[in-house]
Parts: sequence; structure tokens; C-alpha cells
Amino acid sequence: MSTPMDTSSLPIKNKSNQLTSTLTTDYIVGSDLISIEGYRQDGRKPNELRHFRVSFNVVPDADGSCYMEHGNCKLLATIYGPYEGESRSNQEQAIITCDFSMTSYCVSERRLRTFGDMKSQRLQMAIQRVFQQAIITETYPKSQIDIYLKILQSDGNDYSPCVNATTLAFINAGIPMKDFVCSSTVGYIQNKCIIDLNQQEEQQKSPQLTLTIMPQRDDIVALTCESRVHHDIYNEMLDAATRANLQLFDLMKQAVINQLKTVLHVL
Amino acid sequence: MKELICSTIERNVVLKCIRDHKRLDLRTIDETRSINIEFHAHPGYVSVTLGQTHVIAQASCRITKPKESRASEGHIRIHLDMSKIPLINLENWKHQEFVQELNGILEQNIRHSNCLDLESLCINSGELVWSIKIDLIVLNNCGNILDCANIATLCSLYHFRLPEVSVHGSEIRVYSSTERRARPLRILHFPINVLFAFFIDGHYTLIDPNSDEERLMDGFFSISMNQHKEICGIHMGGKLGLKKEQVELCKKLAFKKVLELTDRIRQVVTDYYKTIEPITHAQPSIIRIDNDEDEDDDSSSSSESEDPVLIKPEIPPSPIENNVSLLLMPDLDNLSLTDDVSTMIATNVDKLTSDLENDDEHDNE
Repeated sequence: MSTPMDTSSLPIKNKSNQLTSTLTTDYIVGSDLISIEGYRQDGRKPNELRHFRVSFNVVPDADGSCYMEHGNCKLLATIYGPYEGESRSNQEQAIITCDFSMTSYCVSERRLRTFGDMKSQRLQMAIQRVFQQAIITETYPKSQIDIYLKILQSDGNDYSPCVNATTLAFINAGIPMKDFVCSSTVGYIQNKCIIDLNQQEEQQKSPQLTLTIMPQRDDIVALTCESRVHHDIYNEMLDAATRANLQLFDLMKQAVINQLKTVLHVL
Repeated sequence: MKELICSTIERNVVLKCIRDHKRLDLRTIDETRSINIEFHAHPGYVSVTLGQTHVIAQASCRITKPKESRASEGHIRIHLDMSKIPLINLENWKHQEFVQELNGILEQNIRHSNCLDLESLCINSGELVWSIKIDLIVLNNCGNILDCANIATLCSLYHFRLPEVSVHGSEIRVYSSTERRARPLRILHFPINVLFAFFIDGHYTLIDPNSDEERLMDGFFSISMNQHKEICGIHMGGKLGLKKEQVELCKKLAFKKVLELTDRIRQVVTDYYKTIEPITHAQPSIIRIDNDEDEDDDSSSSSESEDPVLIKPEIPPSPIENNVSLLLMPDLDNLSLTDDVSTMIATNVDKLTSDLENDDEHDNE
């Protein structure tokens, strides 16, 4: 079956341009991403998540906070609320606002514009929408809950770690939710589905999918697929993404249980 | 889209209709409104109406410097412009968000799916490339601007003609349309967007909501597919929690629509050019450069032969028969969904199988 992937990896090789400097950091030829033994560039297997570490209560002033390290992506999620909303706020439900920003040192080249650009705004809207759905907002009418996200180190996709960190921060804040919200990315390189892409793998022109689900309710909350992928491959990717999310859910649940154990032990 | 103000009576009536699998404008659940595509003399200008929703698109081109990392690729930009009047119920900041969201989806559709061959827009690698910009203006919003704008973008791209350029060393010469016939853009496939609206906690779904339905929907799910059964983009919005089976169903319904629309778009544009071709290009132009005489003949004949061969997909398209057999998947009857959606399937299975039989006959002819 001639997959769309083959035709997109071939032009990359033919496009070498003698006039300009070859910026190979832009995309590495696809054949290097998964070695013959089946390991990726960072030593993972195709169905392995990145290293995952979480700590809670890092911002004592906030109602809930979570510092998360997901591979090379380090971020901080803080929740303030629920508190009294503004006068025009929704009478029946809580309003959730999201503020996303990056530090200027989060990527290898110093960023001058750390908030307010297109990508940040889109991410803000997306996260606000996801959590408006996931939080039981009817328990807090006329109030407002703020989410603050800060990326300390970025490794490609920011959206998925942000969603995961926000879920844990909400749990830390004690705000009732319908279910955990887990998110992960999936790519399709060299006829294999690889989960949890890092920046190098994401910059390839290969099909990618970001799936956000509520694992226990088996609900798809957000699904973004921004590349051209054949129908059958899409199904495979969706399955791989669901499995990845379930793995993440186990890790997140374990982190929460550990946190509870330490807190109760102190008491 | 619950931020929009809607009276309780309207809400109750529309939701009750939806629960009974009916619609106020007498369409079925998987029927889109009628699409009307109109062109005018200027290449790249198209006016599309989807029911009452009206969007106009204009494609324009400019010569610019390429990006350093993509030295031999042109650019394409899509800009959606919507005044506040079509969205009078939304509050100020929401309007901005809404427009940005639509703009983002439209751009991703065209750019990331590689529907336009950007390398063909290159004039001089590393120095000069064409930069195409599509401006969309929403004249009337009666629901589902996304689909309408998407169709307008594709028609505009397909309709647009790029001026001929000749390169002499480091100088280029751009010919006007009277000197040399402008050539069409190289479009590899048509990513067509289909929007599904979900109601009442995601139990009920509709294609192509009109403005009343759009105000009351929980969220939308838009799939962009092309006729080779490739998914070019998926976007979800609003408060929505979907099951996998619902996504599957949407994909199947979307594919049917996509096939119809692709044929329609191609037909409309080629018909338009057939009607105007005899008028504008009957007489050879008086102003001609001597050494280009032969080239002029070649270019006009080659562009004539180019017209029917406009679509050159990178992947050889699988024949329609294969696609039809995929649609006849036996699990369509055995989907375990909520009661309401399964009755929707029951009503649609007959329609689907009858449509597929029609497709089969049509293909075998």
C-alpha cells in the first residue's frame, strides 16, 4: 500500500537547495527517526512515553498548583479559584479563564514575544474549552476559576503537557471534575505509530494527531489532526493515541495517590 | 456556543425537533443546504452561498522573497474578514476569538494538507516566489461559515490564474494576461470541510447547522477530507465529549458529501472557463515579441491541454469502486450506540445503501 508518508519523505531528499545554506535542523530525513532495532532518537520504543514527574503544591499562594516534567518539557500550572466573578458573569456556572505564557528561555533561541501571539491564544482557547467541559461548573455559580500556565522549558508540543498539568493542578485545588483529562500526541513515521512526540519528531512533515480524552468515561474531548493522513492510518493512530492516554492516566493517578500518601503520613 | 443569547421558546422548539430527528427547515439529518457558486470576470473571485450564508473570496498574488528554510516554496495565506454585524449576539472579545478560530482552521486545512503545490509557485529559487493570498469576506451568517468559506477558498484557488513569468538571468518579466495566457494553480487535491453539530450532551448530531441550530449546539466537529479518503484535518470546538463510534459515523457521512462536492467544484469551474474561453482568447494578441512567437503558441496550446489535467495528485487515487466497497462495511448495522443515534443510523442505512447502489451503477457505466 503506497502510503502518503512515502511521497512526503522523498521530496525532502530532493529539495536540497544549493543556493541557500542547508538548514538541516529544520527537518531530519525520516529514515533516521526509528533505527533498525526499533528505537527512536531518544532511546524510546515507539509505544513508550517520555519520563514523567510531577510535584504538587509548588505555589503555596495558589489554590492548586502542579509542576510537571514530561520529558524535556517543564511547566508550571497554577489554579486560582473559585472566587467571586465579575458582575456580568454566568449565573449558573463557573467561568474558566486560561492564561498561557512562556518564558523567554524556554526554547533554544531566546524568545522575545512570550505571550499574546497566535499560538498562545489558540492554546488558551483550547484549554479553556476543554476544562469548561471537564469541570463540574454547576457547583460554583457566579464564580470564576483562573488557570495560569507557564512553560519553563519547551520541547515541541506544549498543548498536551499543559492539559495534563492543569488536570493535576485542579485535583490539587480540590475542584470537582467529571474525570481526569489526558492528552497525548501520536505520529506516523516509517509505517509505525509512535506516541508522545518530542520536538524533533514533531517537526517532520509526517501525519500527527493530538488526542485529549477523559479516560474513565471514554469520551473524546478534543481531537486535532492537522496533516493529511489516509483513513486507515488514521484509525491506527487513534488507537495508539488512546493507549498512550491510558498509560498517562495510570501515571497521573499514581502521582495523585503518592501525594495523598505523603500528606496523610505527615498528618 | 451557549454564549449566544437565545430565547427559551426558540431553544425548546429546536431541541424538541432535534429529538424527533427533524429539522425546522425540513432537511434530513445528513442533508446540507443548497450550494450556489458564482464567478465573475476577475480570476479568483468567487461568491458562494450555502443556504443563506454568503461568503465571497478573492485570490491575489504577489512576488516576494521566500523563507530561508524553504527556499523554493511559495506562500499561501488565508484571511477571513467578518464584521460584527453577522455576529451581533456575541460579545466583543468573543468575536475576535471566533474569527481567529475559523481563520486558523481554514489555514490549517489548506496549508498542512498540502493541497496547493507550493513548489510550483517558485520563480527563482531562493530569490523570488509567488505569494498567494485569499481574502474571504462573510456577507451573511446563517450558520456554518466554516464550510462555506472552505468551499469559497477552494473554488477561488481553482479559479485563479497566475500570470506567466519568464526568467532572464536575474531579471524576470511578468506578462499580462493579454500577452500570454495566465496559467492555473497546481492543486493536488481538494480538502473539503464538513461540519457536524452536536446537541444535548452529544447524543444528537446534525450536518450543516443553520443559525438557530448553531446557537444551540453543544459543540461542533469538523472533518476535512478529500476524495481519496484521506483525512486532511479534524477540529473540535465547544463543550463536547465524543465517543469513538460517533467519530467513525461522522467520517462516513462526511466522505459521501466530500465526493459530491469535489465533483461539483471541478464541474463549476471548468464550465465557467469553457464559456469565457472562446470570447477572450479567440484573437491572438497584437503586441508580440518576435523571438517569443513560437513560445507563445506553445504556451497557449500547452495551457489549453493543461486545463483538463489540472489535478495531479501526488498519490495515485484509488478507484472509486474501492472506496465504495469500503463504505459498504458490514459493521454499519451493528454499531452499539445510544438509542437515538442508532435510530438515526436505521433511517440512514436505507438511504446510504440506495445511494451506494446508485454510485455503483454510475461508476460501472
